[in-house]
Amino acid sequence: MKLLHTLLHKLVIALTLGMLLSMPAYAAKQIWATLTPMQQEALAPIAKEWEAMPEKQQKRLLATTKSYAKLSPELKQRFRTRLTEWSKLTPEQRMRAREKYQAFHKIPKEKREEVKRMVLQSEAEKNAASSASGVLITPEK
Amino acid sequence: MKSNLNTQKINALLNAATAQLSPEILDKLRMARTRALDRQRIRQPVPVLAWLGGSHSGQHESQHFPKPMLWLMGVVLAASLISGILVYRNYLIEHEIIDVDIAILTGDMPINVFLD
Repeated sequence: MKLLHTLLHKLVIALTLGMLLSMPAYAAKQIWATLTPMQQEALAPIAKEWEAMPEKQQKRLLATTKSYAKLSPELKQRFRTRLTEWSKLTPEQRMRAREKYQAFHKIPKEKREEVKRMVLQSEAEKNAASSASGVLITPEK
Repeated sequence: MKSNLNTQKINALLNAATAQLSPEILDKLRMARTRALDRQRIRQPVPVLAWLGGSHSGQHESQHFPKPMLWLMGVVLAASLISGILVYRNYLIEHEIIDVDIAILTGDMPINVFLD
């Protein structure tokens, strides 16, 4: 019986340690003020929504800021611009977008480049059209 | 008395002395030797399970775990292994998700391309 107790005691300690080690995965919500200056810079566009965000989303966004530091100024700007739209999506929409992104990267490079060209061209046309209509609309205001 | 004693001479002397001992004493010595050897065997670490605390008690039963205990240990080990695999798998998935998020947020293609 003494051996049984010793063994169970050690097992309980081992399991407790294991659970404690996995605790960071379920860390508590992060308060904006506790973020590093780099994290705050990267996540600035969503600063107001930060406290209301689910922990999981906060955790993922914080993880993305690790790569943010290594980005060029142009890509940093792009990251921040897209962040608002990205964080407004539902978790399902984000998951679907990830799936589509991965599927897109599975098609042959040539096809991918072709699609990319088409999309970028269409975006450029859309932007041109909207800015043109903006010029037309603005004087009327 | 300072003759050169080597192991063979000592052996011979001890054998001669042993022959003079009574059978009763010889039995007691034999039993003591057996007990000492048993204890020696028990104190040798049992691989893998040695850390669990059974090998240093000096008790004979520590060498043989009761069957339910072995089952319990097996179940706990299996559960730990499975949970370890699940945690590692989750870690890999989460890493992949974060990599894709960064790629979407900084890639050439606008986000709306990947939305329904």
